[in-house]
Amino acid sequence: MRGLILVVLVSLAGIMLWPAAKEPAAAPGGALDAKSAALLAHVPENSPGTRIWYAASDYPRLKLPGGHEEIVKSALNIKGPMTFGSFVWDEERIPKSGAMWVRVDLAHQILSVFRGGHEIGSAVILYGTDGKPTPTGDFTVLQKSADYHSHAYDAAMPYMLRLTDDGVAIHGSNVREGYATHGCVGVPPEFAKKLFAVMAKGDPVFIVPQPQAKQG
Amino acid sequence: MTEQQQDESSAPKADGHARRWKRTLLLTALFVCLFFVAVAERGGPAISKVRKDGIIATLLDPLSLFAGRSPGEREGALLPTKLAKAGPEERVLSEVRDRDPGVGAAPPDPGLLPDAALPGSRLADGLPGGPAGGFTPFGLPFSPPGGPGDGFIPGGPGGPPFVPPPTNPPVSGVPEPGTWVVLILGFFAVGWAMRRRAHLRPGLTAR
Repeated sequence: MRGLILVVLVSLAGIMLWPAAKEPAAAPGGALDAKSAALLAHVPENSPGTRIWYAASDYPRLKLPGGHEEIVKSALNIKGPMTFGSFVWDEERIPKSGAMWVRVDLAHQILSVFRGGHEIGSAVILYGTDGKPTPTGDFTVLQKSADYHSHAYDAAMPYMLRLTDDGVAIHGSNVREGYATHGCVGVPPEFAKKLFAVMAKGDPVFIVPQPQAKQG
Repeated sequence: MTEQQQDESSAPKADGHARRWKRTLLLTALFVCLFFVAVAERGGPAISKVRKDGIIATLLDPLSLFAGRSPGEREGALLPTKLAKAGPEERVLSEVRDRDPGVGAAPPDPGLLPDAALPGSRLADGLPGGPAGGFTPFGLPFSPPGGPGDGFIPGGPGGPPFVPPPTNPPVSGVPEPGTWVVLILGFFAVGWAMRRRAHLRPGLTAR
């Protein structure tokens, strides 16, 4: 009797563990509920030049400095990490009008441009050092100058979008690894040109700080 | 005696029976645990939902998209993109340089002027000090002899640093003639001592 119980239990365990070992977990393409499946349907896989469209019923909301919150309707589908000096700009199928805003992520060294909730551009940035840090928070474009020349540094700052009165700006820069600015946000010149074309005075720019542990 | 023997033989029997049941219960509990582990690993109804939702959220969260395209966090030593031509102080400094020396300077006060022959002394004329404008004479026109001769005296609070005016003390020849004399005399002294020692102990040198 006892032996029979043992045999039954062992065989039950074997039946359960065997397929688990053969096809382990983390198979997201498995049986999904309806909501997840609907979300996944908006992710075009391996289709170049495409973007991730979010379901209109479930737009993600980005929390931004200053208590702001913006919805994201679509985002650029960039696979893998970007290299320094590279950028992506894609405004195909995106409405020509819409509220512009820029999110600068210092921790990830990434800038994203949004129009009407759709991300139309993204680039790797340079930012300030500890000695001259890039300020964080919510800013607006105070001044635009396509051919700006800094008096303080005697340096060209093409397609400058001034953010603060003391000279912090987004401008074209030679974006290379291992370099830092004096507080400005440096973007590749070609990207700066496109950004300059779409941004207007008064458009918001959100500079997201580094994680708390990384500060100082 | 036989009753005692029966009792002794039945007692171990009862013990063994209880032990077997205990073992069976333990094994059953073990297999029940294994069952739940197996269900979790296979993506059973309760746990898999959480996990798959987590994957969806990670896949579609814009923040994770940004993180995925990031070249990584910045680390290591950094180089400046541009060399500072002049910081804020040096901007003021350059204006001082460009300024006509005759314009805007305070009238020289002979009582305040330092002795230009004092080594390390720097002349401090009245330069515009602080953003409020006006002429603020520096508190310490003299730096002590032998003090830090870096060529700059920091200004007062709010005052700009300034370039030393061209009233440097006359520069003497380096080394000075006295130094040369002492040096040569020293060589003579050393040579004389060596010759004297060799003369006094010829045997040592000969060997």
